[in-house]
Parts: sequence; structure tokens; C-alpha cells
Amino acid sequence: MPPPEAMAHALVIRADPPDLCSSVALPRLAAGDPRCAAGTVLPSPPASVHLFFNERVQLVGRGVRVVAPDGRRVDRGPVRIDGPEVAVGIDAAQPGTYLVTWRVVSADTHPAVGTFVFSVGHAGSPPRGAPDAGGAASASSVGLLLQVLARAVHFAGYALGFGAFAFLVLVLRPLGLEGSRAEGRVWWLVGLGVFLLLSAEPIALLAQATSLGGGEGGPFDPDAVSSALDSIFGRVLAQRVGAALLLWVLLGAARDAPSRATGASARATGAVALVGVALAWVDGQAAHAVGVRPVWLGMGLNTLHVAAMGVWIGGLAALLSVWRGWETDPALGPVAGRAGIAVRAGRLFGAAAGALAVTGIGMAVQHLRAPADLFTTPYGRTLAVKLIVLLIVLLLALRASRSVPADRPPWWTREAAALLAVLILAGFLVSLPPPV
Amino acid sequence: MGGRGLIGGRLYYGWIVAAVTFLVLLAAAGVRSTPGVLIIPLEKEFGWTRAMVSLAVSINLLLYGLLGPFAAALMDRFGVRRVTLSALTLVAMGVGLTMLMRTSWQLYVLWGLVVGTGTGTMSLVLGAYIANRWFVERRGVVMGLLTASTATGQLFFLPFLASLVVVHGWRTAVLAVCAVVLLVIPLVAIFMRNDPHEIGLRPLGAPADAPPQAPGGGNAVTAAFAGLGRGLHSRDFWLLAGSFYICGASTNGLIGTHLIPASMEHGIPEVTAAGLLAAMGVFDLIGTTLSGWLSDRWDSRYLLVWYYALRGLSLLFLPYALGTQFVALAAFAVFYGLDWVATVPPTVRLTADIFGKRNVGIMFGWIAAAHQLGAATAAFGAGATRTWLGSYQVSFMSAGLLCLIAAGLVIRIGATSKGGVLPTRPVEVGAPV
Repeated sequence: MPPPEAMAHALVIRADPPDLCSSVALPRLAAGDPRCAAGTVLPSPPASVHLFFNERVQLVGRGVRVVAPDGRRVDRGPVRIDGPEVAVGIDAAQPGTYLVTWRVVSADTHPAVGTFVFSVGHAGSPPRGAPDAGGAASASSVGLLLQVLARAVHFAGYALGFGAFAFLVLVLRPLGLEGSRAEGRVWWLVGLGVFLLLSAEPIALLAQATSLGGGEGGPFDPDAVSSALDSIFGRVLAQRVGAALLLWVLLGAARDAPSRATGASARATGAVALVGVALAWVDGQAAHAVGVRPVWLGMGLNTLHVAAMGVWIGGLAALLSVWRGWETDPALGPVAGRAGIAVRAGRLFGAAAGALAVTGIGMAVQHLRAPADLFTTPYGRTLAVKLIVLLIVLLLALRASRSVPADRPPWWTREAAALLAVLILAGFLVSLPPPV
Repeated sequence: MGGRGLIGGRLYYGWIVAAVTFLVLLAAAGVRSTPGVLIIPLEKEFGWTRAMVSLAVSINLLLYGLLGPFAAALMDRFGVRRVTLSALTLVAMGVGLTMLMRTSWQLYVLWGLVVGTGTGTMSLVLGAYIANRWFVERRGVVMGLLTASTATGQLFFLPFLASLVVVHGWRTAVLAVCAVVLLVIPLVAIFMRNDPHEIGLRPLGAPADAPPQAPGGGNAVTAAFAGLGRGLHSRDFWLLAGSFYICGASTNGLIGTHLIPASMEHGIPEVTAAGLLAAMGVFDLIGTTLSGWLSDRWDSRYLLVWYYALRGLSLLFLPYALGTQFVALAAFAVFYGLDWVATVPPTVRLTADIFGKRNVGIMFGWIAAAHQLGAATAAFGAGATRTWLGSYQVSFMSAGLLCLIAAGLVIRIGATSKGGVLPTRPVEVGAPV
């Protein structure tokens, strides 16, 4: 696994008293240097502790904790935060080694924690809870994996919830195939999408709490959970759950109004599309798009990218489901009529793939500093693997279109499986920090 | 009004009954809003704790909710006029005796039990009962007006009583409330009638050959529990009661109780925050009357979906509004006020459609009890969460998400288990969404 600082988003670039071993400040001692145990030795106690981050941050809970050698907390008064600078006054009179612990979230809701030590008068043994590189790293690895899982489940739910609906509106309805059992299968997929969207959020909360807990207190540290809920992360989480619930409401409305009442049907379709775009935009708040300038371009590309992903993956799932059910539903007409669906679906997926390519290139340009980043940074390497898998997907799609209709489902299934792998890689991409 | 409200060239008597009911509910609302201004003066004079006074308020709220279905059965048995007169007398007695209070158990008995029982018999159930007995047309409008009086009185009396407490002391405020209740009693005695058939009329808009509604016989308590039993077996009852539970939680329970402290924590002065709640009362009157008018024309379920969904979204964005300028919070107050009690007319309408007009009183009584249960849960829950977590963000977000769930529950009312929909009710015309 890459070292913790490679996976953190907000980084301390300078501290006062100086952090010799964990911040990005140079010159920096190698990890494991014995001087890391004592930090900077100051002649007299400082009045306050300042932390300077590489970006604007928000505090999680109290944010900064300073512990004296005897284990007492010595941070006093409110923690002042001014953009990327965080400061708190301390009441330090004891000689010995002090421990500073900080917990923040960056503007895109990604958590960051860190600790460092400094000494007053002489070096002593650090108080309990001193940095344990192993514990912190494993907590942040577990947190990262959980977050990747949460994002992948969320994207899958988005695809099934909104993409399958798009398939219904853009492929089935123009061909006059609504009202049949095919439509019922699509609605079932949308319901599954709602379930996945809702399931992803507790996993995301657990991921955030694990990353913020920093190993102490275990994954169910109530303090970490409550701090996570109270921050911008909590607000974005509520918005994602809200969008999933709105889709559930619209699902009920759509099944209630017969689709022949075109007025209600058009309104419900518009509402679902609106919620879909809104949720894609909300996703941007928790992605790196928020840190890009101009913001509207970053958020816009991200929204389009997520929506196109949903249409392709969800549509493919709906296509597979409808295709399989064709034999049992006489209302759909002769089996040979399936080809019409495949043609329309193919055009839809082609358009989605095109949109993905364009927005993907745009986002890569925004987040990578140079083409070499594709091979040197964790973010870049993940992106490179994702591009390779996408190439495989396109080849599979091409192979499917070349076969006779009866032979297509297995190729589509492989295509769907590869796209699932792309989703997981996308989860990694959203969770890893882009090259700074 | 053309020929609508007139019978034989004169004003339909039902409007007079509705007007008297409006005044009764207004007085009751005034009584229920008094404890808020009494808490501090009582603590100062008698040395009681916040918990002790809050307990009396809790008993009051709980009785207010639980008595609803029994009140409807009582009205069926003894007639609206007699029940309302007894309740008003009980309340006047309880409030008046408060001036002679000495110990805390007297507070629990007087404010908790006596006033709780009295006001519990004069709640939303009375409004639903009158609206359904006297009106077929215009039922929604009447229901909207009567419902609005309850919430508006509550929010309107606050500044008036608060100024009385500050200038003259709490006993004067209590005396004022007692006087208001006593003023309403002769009005009820003179003008109230139990049923349009007593004076030879039919309900407004009822066809000429409709049979008169027979007064429900039998024991009031049995009837109420029978109604509950019937409801528990009905999926639609659970959906309606569940959504109304969430309604109570998001209005009286959360915003009604905690918006003022939450605003103060973000630097807004207490007077301004109280003014926000009072302003909500004004918009509530507009919104609820409008909702009553709408529920006569549109599918009630879709109305409720809109109300709950918009309420949920506004709650999700309340943490943002509290953190920015006052304009955002004022916009929230306007919007939320319009939506405050707007959910009642469509819910009453749905109750009547599902269970029949005769049973509206008892069934809506239980649904309103769910509303109060939700309010009690949220008031306590938000306070506990605030103590544990240190902020209201989680409470507001949870309430917002609950409102969205309510929207999803409501849309599924009337669907049979096989996924189809029951034959639409004859009155519902117009676009669903």
C-alpha cells in the first residue's frame, strides 16, 4: 500500500511548532529517525499551535487536540480556522514531550488525520496515544478500501436506478414496448438500484469514521461517527440518501399512473431525469471536481461523466434482462424483433461511451499535471488501468455486435462484468488524491 | 356566494357553526401555547426545575393526542354541543385554579391532566367532525380554515402572552387566557347545534335523498378501540398514520420546539427567532386554506407527496440556511410556514375516502394521535441528540429524510397488493402530479 500521506487529501505543509517527521515540510527527517520520538525541542512553552494545510479544510469535531506529557489535554479556547490555517491556544507549562493530534476534512469531504510531537525544555517519552505509524496506516487502508466499496456500490445503484429508467424511456417506449412484462423487469432493476444507493451510505459512513478514528477506538468509535455526521460529509451523505428516497417516491408514482396517461408519464420522466442529474451533481461535491478551477467546468464534466456511466451500465443491465425475458412474453412480438432493441440500445450506448471519452479526457487534463503522472502516481496508475479495461469493454461490445442475435447475451454479460471492474476502479479514482 | 352557501335565501347555518368552532379552536390553541411563557416565571417563583415543568407539558401533549378518537366517539354519543361545553368549562376551571397553585403536583394535575383532557377533546378531531357533518361541498375549505385556527392561535398568542408576563406577571397572563375561554362558552351555548338535521337542513351539497347520519350508539370507549382495531388491519391506515407521525415529528416536535434555540446558537437573537415562528403562523393560515381548496380538486395523495417532498428538501438545506445570512432563514420560514399544517386537509380527505365519512372522527382521531406521538418523539429526540452531538445538523437531516420517506409512503396508499390501483374515487379529477 502507498504510505498514508500519499492517500491523504489535506496535508499539513507547515506547523508551528515545527513538525519534523510527518508534515510535508522540508527538510524532513526519515521516518524511524529516533529524533521523531521527541520532535523539535523548544526552550520555552509556546502559547499556541498553528497548522498550515495545502488547501481549505473544515474541522471534524474539535479538530485539534494537544496532550501534555502527563496525559492532560492542554488546548484551550476555541479552535480558530481561517481557510487553510488552523490555530488553537495552549496552556503548556510542563517540560517534556507534547502530542498534537488533528482531524479535518477537505472541501470534497475526504478525511485527513495526523499527529506529531514537540518537546519543551528536554525530550521525554511521549504521552500515550503517540503516533503509531502502523496503526494509523492500517486504519487509513481499511478506510480507503471501505470508501472504494461504498463508491462502487453507489455507482452501481446509480446506474441501475437511473440508467435502467433511461433505457425504458429511450429504447423501450419509442418502440412501443411499454406496458409489458419487459417494463416490469426494468422497474425491478430500478428498485434494486434504490436499494443499492441506500446501502452504500452506511458503508460510506463507516469508511469515513474509520479514516477519522485513526485506529484508536476501533471502527465504531462513536465520537468519529458523530463528528463525521456533523461535518460537510454528513450533509452530502444526507443529500445522497435524499436523492435515493426521491427516486423511491417517483418509482411509486410511476407505477401508480398508467403509462397511457401521457401527461403524468412525461412529468414523472422529467422528474426522474432531474433527480438523476442532481444526484450526479451531488456526487461531484464529494469528488475531486470541487477542487478544480473553474468550479463549474469541473462539476459539469463530472456530472456528465457520471450520468453517461449510468446510462451505459444501467442500460446494459436492462438490455440483458429484457432480452432474456423475451421468450416468455408473447406481447413483445416475434423473437426476431429483438434486433430492433439491440440497434437502438447500441446507438444509445455508443453516445454514452462518446460522452464518457470526452468528459474523461477533460477530467484527466484537469487532474494530472503531465502525461508522466499516468505511470508515477497512484492516481495516474489507477487511471491507466481503467483505460485498459475500458478498451477491453469496447472490444467486447464490438464482438457482441458482430455475432448473431442469439449469441449476443454471453458477450454482453462479459461486457457488463468488465464495466463492473471499471466501477471499482472509478471508486479508487474518486478516493485517491490527485497529483498535487 | 351565489346559491352555494345560501339555503332559502339565507346563509347556510353550517357556516355559523363553523365560525363558532373556529373560535373554540382558537381559544384552545391559546391555552396550549401558554406553558411556553410560564416556564421561567414558575421556576423563579416556586423553585421548580425545567424537567418538572416539562413533565406537565408532556402529560398535556400526550393526553391531547390520545384523547382524539375517544372524543369523536363522545361527540357521537352525547352530541357536539354538550361535549364542547363540558370541555371548555373543564379548561377554564383548570386554568383558573392555576392562579392558586402552591406545589408541583397541583401543576401536574391542573395543567397536565385537567387542561390536557379538556384541550384533547377540542383538537383537530373537532374540526374534522364538524366539517364532515355539515359539509359535502366546500369540505376541504372548511377543514383548512378550522385546522389553520389551531396552529395559528398557538403561534399568535405567544407574543401577546409574553408581553403580559413581562409587564404584569404570569398570573395576569393566566387570567387573560381564562377570560378568553369563558368568553367562548356562551357563544357555543347559543349557536352550536349537533347536526344539520336537528334544524331541518341537509349538509351543504348533499343530495336530497341522502339518509341522515344516525348517531353512533354504544359505549364511546369501545367504539374508539374498535376503530383502532379496524385500522391496525388496514395497510392504508399504517401508511397514513406513519406519514402523519412524520408530519408531527417535523413540525411541532422539531421546528416548533427547537428552531428558536437552534437559531440562537447561530447568532440570531431570541426575539427575532420568536418572530420567525410567529411569521410562520401567518403563512400557515394562507397555506392551509389553500391546501383545503386544493384538496377539493386534486388527488390528495399527490398533494401530500408534494408537501412532504418539499418539506424534506427544505429541511436538508436548513443547516446551510442557518450558516449563511438571515435572508435564507427567512425564506425557509415563509416556505415552511406555508407547508406547516397544509398536510391536514388531504389527510382527512383520504381518511374519509378509505374508511367512510361516518368513521372519519374516530379514525382521524387515531391518526392525529400518531401525529402527537411523532411530535413528542422528535421534541425529545432532537434535544437528546443535541446534548450528545452538540449540534442540530443530524436532527434536521434525519427529519428531512423522514419527510421524503413520508412522501414515498403516501404515494403507495390505495395500491392493492397485486400492484394495481383501486378504482379511483369519483370526486378525484385533475392531473395527479
